[in-house]
Amino acid sequence: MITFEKVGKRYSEAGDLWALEDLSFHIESGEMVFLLGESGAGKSTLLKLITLEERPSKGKVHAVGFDSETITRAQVPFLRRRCGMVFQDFRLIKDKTIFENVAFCLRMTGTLERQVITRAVSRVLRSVGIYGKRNAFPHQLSGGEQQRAAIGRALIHEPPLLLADEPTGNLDQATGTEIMTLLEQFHVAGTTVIVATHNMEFARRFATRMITLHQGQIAEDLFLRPHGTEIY
Amino acid sequence: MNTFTFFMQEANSSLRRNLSASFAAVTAIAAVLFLLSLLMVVSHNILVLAERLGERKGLSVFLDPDLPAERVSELEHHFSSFPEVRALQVVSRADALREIEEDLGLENIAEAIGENPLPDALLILPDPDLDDAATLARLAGEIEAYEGVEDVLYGERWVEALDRGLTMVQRANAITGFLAVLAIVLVLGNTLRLIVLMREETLAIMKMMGATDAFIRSPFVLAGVMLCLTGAVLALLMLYAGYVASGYLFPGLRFLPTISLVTFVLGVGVVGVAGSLLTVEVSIRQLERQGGHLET
Repeated sequence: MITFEKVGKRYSEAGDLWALEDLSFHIESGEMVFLLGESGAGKSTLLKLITLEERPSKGKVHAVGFDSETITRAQVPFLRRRCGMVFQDFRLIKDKTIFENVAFCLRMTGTLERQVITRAVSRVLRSVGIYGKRNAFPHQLSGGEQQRAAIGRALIHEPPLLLADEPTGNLDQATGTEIMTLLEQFHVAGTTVIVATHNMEFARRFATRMITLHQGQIAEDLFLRPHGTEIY
Repeated sequence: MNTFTFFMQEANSSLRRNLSASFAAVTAIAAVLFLLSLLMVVSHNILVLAERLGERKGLSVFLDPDLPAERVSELEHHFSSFPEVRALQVVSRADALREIEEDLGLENIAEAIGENPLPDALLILPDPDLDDAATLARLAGEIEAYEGVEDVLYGERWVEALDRGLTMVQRANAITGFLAVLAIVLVLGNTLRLIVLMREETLAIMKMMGATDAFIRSPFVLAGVMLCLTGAVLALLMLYAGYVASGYLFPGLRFLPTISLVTFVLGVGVVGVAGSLLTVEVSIRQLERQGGHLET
């Protein structure tokens, strides 16, 4: 699913600092990996390297069938359609309803038939438990509901990989647990999930594997349980 | 719903969200295009006038009075084959004398002065595409060199003046057209940049979700074309209103022909597409370089 081969990322505007250095690891299909580490450890950069929001300064990233060395600019959108993405700040389009936010993702990839869109969006909104709020605008929803909508949007293309960057950072513990449970449901259904978080408790409870980053390098890579196994 | 309808909806929505900027852009584009179309009307009327004058262009080739009829016929056939010659008419000395007698209201001039003093002449009408001053001067010189030709007259002064006038009109049109294109691209550039900036966050989300470059840019390009075409239609409406209102001042004034109107609107559309593509590409690339929401 994902392979990092001696990957380094340097930001020249940050005084030639290496955000990530010499990273090599492999993530199998079906894992639920938690990326841990303090702020600035390189968790978000690692996720951006997978979606090629950032290009590696050295080494090679192979993700969902695309290779960072050979992929063209025109192919990047197709890589991203295979990686659902969820963020701490939800990133929903403010002037569209929840239904429109999710439907927009289908439209922009060429699905324009109203019936197909309605069926797909309704299904995904039901699966994240927010169908009843489909006609609400993002600002009319709670943080947890917005994150559910964002997860629904991320999953509308049924991607094999879901990346979540601090998905519970803006939520209280109870709502965060609901969101993590939701992510786990998709993981159990077969989606590979990678979560970047500070929250050790969630990692211990939901991860099949924990990768801890420290100053841009892997400090610990811990396999907790086989893919998809419930721990409770 | 097809892709085009979807893009139109997105373009329309972008313009409505930035109503004041869109209104300002349409007004500015309409003003520029009104000036351009006004000049087009002036040019069109000058060209119509020039065409009428051009119909009077011709070379009068006066032949040697003693030239035998066979040589006259020979020259007639020879000059008719020149590519610059559209039509050629032989005016015999007898016909010329009759015309003068009719013009002056006199009779028997030849008898009064002892003989017909007029030579045979050839009246040459040049091809309209080859009737500029330089071509006529060269043709006159060439014909004058033939044996049996005494003199060639073609009114070089007014032909040259007409040519100079037409060249000036064409240059004025080219300069105004260029300035209009530049002004439209600048106005479009500013407006679209503003719209792109206001939609930066949405664009970043679209990129993140896997929208292609073409999908992201198309609604903005359509928005630019819509601004341009609205400006063009408004400019033509203002022009027509002005034309109708000034009808009593310039009764002979002609409005632009349909083909010019269609070309004008299509041309503005093409400038809109090119200008929008350029400015949207530059704006989005700038945002990508600056980082922020649109990092990739």
